[in-house]
Amino acid sequence: MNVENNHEILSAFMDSEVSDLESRRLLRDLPDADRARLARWQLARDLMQGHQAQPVPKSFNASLMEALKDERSVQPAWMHPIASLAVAASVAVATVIGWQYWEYSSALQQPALASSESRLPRLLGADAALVSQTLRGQAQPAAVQAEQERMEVMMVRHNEFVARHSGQGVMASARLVSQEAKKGDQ
Amino acid sequence: MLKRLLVLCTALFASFFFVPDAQAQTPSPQQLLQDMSQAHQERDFRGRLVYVRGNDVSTLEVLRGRIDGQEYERLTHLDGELAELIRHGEQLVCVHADKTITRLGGRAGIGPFALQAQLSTMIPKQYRIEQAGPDRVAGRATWRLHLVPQDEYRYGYRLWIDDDSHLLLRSELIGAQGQVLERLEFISLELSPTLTLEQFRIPAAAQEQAINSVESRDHPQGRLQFVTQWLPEGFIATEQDMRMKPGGQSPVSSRAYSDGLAAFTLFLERATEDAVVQSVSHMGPTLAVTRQLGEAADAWLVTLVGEVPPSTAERVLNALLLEERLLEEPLLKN
Repeated sequence: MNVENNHEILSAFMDSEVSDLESRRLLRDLPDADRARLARWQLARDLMQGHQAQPVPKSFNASLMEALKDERSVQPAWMHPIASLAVAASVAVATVIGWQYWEYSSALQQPALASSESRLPRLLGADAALVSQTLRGQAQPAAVQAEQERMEVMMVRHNEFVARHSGQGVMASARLVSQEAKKGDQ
Repeated sequence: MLKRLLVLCTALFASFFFVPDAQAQTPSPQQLLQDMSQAHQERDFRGRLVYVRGNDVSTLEVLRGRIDGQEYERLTHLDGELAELIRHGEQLVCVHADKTITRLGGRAGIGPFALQAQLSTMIPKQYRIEQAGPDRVAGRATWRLHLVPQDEYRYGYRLWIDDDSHLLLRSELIGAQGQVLERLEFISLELSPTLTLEQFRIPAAAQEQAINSVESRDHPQGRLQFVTQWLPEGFIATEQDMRMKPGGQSPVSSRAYSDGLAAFTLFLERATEDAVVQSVSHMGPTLAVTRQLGEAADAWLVTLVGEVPPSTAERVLNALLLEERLLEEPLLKN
């Protein structure tokens, strides 16, 4: 399968447009890279459907990178003056997958581990346990707060560009004003 | 006779609900968009809007007018904490919930549904436009248009255009499964209201912040440029700059992309010691994905923020290169 075909198959899988039999065959034969991609798409879809999530602190990433050091030997080198922005695929995948378990508990006001059993166990396998264990007890509210502030500035800048260059018009402004007001409510 | 009676009853029913007569005078989609673009430039109005994003609902008030030849706009969040966008000509001010304000340079155009002139004359070929018939919004007769994406890399739109004023009264962003990701809709509209400068006054701020521009040629980071090896068809770079965050020590480079409707922005900044190096977050349909490039002294954070499907963000980031640009090269290069 070429890359485009893989994307189409994964997209169909995400949209529940393949049968159970095809799903099992797909998951059985899926190359690692596509398996990781599918996991990221599922994560993103979860986020889009309203599962709140918080960023993974760098300390988590450091632990994970250590755990995956064997795989790091294959990651693309950082070269000047031209360098690939694609980070080591396995590390990125595992880190982002870690998000699956890093959901935000507003009641506790700190990141908490969410139930993981129902999500992607067939895709993650042993890595899921690794990520879950690494995440446990890694709450970093300060890092989360810093990340939120960083995102807010980017949202302002993005919406400014959108209002100026896309046809979305006041939709972008409404997003921004609504975001500002909700922030004040918290 | 029975047929005539049926036609008469239908006409009376339609006029009662102020729905335009679809068969007699259905305008073309292109004409509707052109009329809408012109109406936005010429019309003064005041209205209340509902903005719905997931389970969040916001009520907003919008004022738009031209006074002594200058355009003024104000968009105010009515419930909960006060937040506003106010535009005086080219100057846009964001009033934050904590009473601080941020001045944004250049025209950001908060005018309701200010579809760009390019959109009124040419719909991007990545979308199919459909006239979906008459409808009503805020008690007014409207025409409904659907902009259907032709690939999976962008979302769709539904537009409701006022039959009388040609203002856009309702807009929806539509996901791949047909779900409404966000909706903005007038619930009341007053045309040609009496507007005064006082209604567009910028409130006194407890503190004023600024997202200041940094001249890219004056900063080493200005040499680094995004090279996108893959973009969804139709997306082009529209603007690029470098700003200093409020209280920030190092600048953030940004580069915006759009296909005329959908948009995303790439941001580049130095990774600090305590920075989050991988993150995915969203606010309604707006997705933000951060990845780290390089390590130690050469560590950078790249963030994609935009209203695009997650798989699009994934592909763009996977195909992104960072290149050291020679100063004499143009800033925008795909």
